[in-house]
Amino acid sequence: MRISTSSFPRIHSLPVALPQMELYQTDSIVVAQYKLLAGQVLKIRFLSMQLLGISAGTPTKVTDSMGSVYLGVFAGGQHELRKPTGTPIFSINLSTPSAKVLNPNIKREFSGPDVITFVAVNNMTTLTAEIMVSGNVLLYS
Amino acid sequence: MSYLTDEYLDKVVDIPVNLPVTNLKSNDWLVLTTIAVAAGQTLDFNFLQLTLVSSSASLDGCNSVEGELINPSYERVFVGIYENYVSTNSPYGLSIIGTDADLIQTSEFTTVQRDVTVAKLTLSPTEPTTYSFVIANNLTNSDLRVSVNGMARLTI
Repeated sequence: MRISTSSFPRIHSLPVALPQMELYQTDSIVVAQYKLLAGQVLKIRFLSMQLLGISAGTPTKVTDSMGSVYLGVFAGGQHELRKPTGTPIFSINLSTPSAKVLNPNIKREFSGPDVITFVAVNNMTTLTAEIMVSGNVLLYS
Repeated sequence: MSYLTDEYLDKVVDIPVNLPVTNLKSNDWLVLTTIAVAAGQTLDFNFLQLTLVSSSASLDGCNSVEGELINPSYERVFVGIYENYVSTNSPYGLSIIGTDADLIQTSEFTTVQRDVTVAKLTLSPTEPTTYSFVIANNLTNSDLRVSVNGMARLTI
């Protein structure tokens, strides 16, 4: 479908970006949060996370099923949780220094009203991690 | 002239390369973003601004003190693009990809940006490759406060 000059201004390309940052054990940070009004649609197109380093020691996880660090996408205002419990809609999980990207060919769409939150989590009880998050979403108003 | 379609727009992703004003210690660096590009995908780079806000020590104009710079080939602060970068490696001696126009650097309190009149950098790897944008403080003796705003365009 062609995009007209009147509809194009209602399409917003929005960042999900966190430069390299140190995240303490069991801590989390909201990287981005978008509130969707009724009729609005959010498309997640590119989302990547890099684990740059972990402090020395043996990692013990808070949530065993997740990586040592993860980027979780939560809906419904999950941001109010101080420490996410490892139940995101989907996530990027890393346990060794590396970079991972969600498959951009799979469509991930959310419809309003809702609140979509991107949370980076250090899932370890003892070790500090250095992470980086990069991504982009399209908001159709 | 071709038209913009929603199908095309879905395949073009503008990825932020962003750093709010941050204190960057001497001889230190930060990864701003890492973009994994699969075979068949294309990454275009054309726009980035780097601002040097302040420093912990007085910077005497643009005349660098001998021994002040870690890598004398670069200015006091720079943003470079690295291929398959490993964060434990110091970026000062590694090869930066692209041309001189793709290395954004300054030694003065100002905002510099990539010359948009120079042809964009286009990367089309034949195997999965990660490209990292890294900002580095090239000084041995002064902390710098810097900010970055830019983007790279990934075509899926």
